[in-house]
Amino acid sequence: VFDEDLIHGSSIQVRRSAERYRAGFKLRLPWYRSLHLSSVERIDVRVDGKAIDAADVSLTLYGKTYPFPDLVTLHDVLWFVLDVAELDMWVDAPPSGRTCEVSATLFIRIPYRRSSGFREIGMCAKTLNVALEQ
Amino acid sequence: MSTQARFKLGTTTYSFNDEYYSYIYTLDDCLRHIGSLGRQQGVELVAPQCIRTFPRVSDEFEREFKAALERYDLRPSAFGHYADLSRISGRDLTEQELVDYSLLQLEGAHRLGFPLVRFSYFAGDLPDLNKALYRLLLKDAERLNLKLAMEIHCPFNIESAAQQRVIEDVAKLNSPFVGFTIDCGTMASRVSQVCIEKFLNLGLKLEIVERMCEMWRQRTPVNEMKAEARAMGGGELGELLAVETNVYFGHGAPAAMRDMMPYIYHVHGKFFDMEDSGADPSVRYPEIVSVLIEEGYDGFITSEYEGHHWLKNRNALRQVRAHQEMIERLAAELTAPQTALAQRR
Repeated sequence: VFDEDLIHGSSIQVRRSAERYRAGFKLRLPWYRSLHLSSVERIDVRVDGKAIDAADVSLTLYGKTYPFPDLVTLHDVLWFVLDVAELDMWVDAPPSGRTCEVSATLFIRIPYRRSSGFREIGMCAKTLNVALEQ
Repeated sequence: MSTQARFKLGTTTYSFNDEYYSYIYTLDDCLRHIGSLGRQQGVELVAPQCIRTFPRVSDEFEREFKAALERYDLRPSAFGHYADLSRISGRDLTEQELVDYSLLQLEGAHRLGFPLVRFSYFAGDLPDLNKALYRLLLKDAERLNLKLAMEIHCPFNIESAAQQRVIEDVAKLNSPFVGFTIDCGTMASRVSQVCIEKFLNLGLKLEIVERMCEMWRQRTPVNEMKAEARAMGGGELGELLAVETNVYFGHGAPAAMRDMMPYIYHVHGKFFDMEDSGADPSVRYPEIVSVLIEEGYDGFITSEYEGHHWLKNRNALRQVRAHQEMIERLAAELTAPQTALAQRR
């Protein structure tokens, strides 16, 4: 598992959207080969220690945005191993500093075996620069 | 028995996982480096690692790959197939879905000029041999002139009961289009130092690491190893080491290849860490090379470096080169006395 680059890049983009904020950073599939999105089961994200509700997280890949819990239904969309996705989430307030601590734990199901219970877990924590769009 | 080495050498793109993933090597760089290892080097492609349109092969990929084969003097040796049995969440693929998904890959492999697919299918996933994927695809393999070489990989090895059942079925089928790829990781002599080093770096106590290695040597069932790791205070990390020793290092004997040699079409030269001495002490290569030469194996031994699973501070190209030099040295040692004898006569 290539944990180190799960959170890709060095910044988190934050912009105001109505009463809340959208925060986003780049994400890579931490596995040696491409997998279909149906293998991307769950992600636990924390921003400055605060857990983000899974229902508030979405993934954008090849120009399409999917609520994270819907990814498991997409068994025909291949996430090519070299490609970078965007992870977006709702937050109530922008990070207070110029940097923030972000951690992500991605649970991926490896489809090799029948009724596969084989899972790999990618874990990454990074200090990201906050890019606040006004 | 043959006294000459008839096998050919090759490399899989899997060896360069780290460099490729990290954008240090493009696919073209991987192929160029494989070509630098020697004339007519075999190349094995991990299809969903290299092909953006997987399981299909695009015209653009076909054109670029074939140009690279010529540019770098490479021979296509094996196309890395994946059955991905549980690709659809919540259920396994139906028979038809399995066939459709694999057939796209077989057709792609054929277009790219491969004579063989490394067929990804575990012995434990074949409840009904009459409906085994290799039987369902046999007519297509014949049509496309492609050997389906089912991989024998840990936690199975040749001697495993589940694997023996499949080997018997393949022998009964007796088709030049259905056989096996043997992964040399199934024939390990010890847990690799690169794995040990990683767990020590992560903070697992030396006494727990040593105890797990000892239990591996004694062929302790993995659940007992996990329990022991827990009891010694190793936590999740200790349990992970217990699991990994079983997933990566097999107890198979190289001599077991002799009985099934007619069905061995491909060999994965799995290795973990070439030492400065020029040996990988964790895989039983002296015996493996000896059996392959004696039995006249004439397929590819494809170098498959996997040390990057634990540590990323090795140079994969240097590792692969050292692995191939070791194979050639072992082959020369095994065949030289006979050659010298033949010359004297």
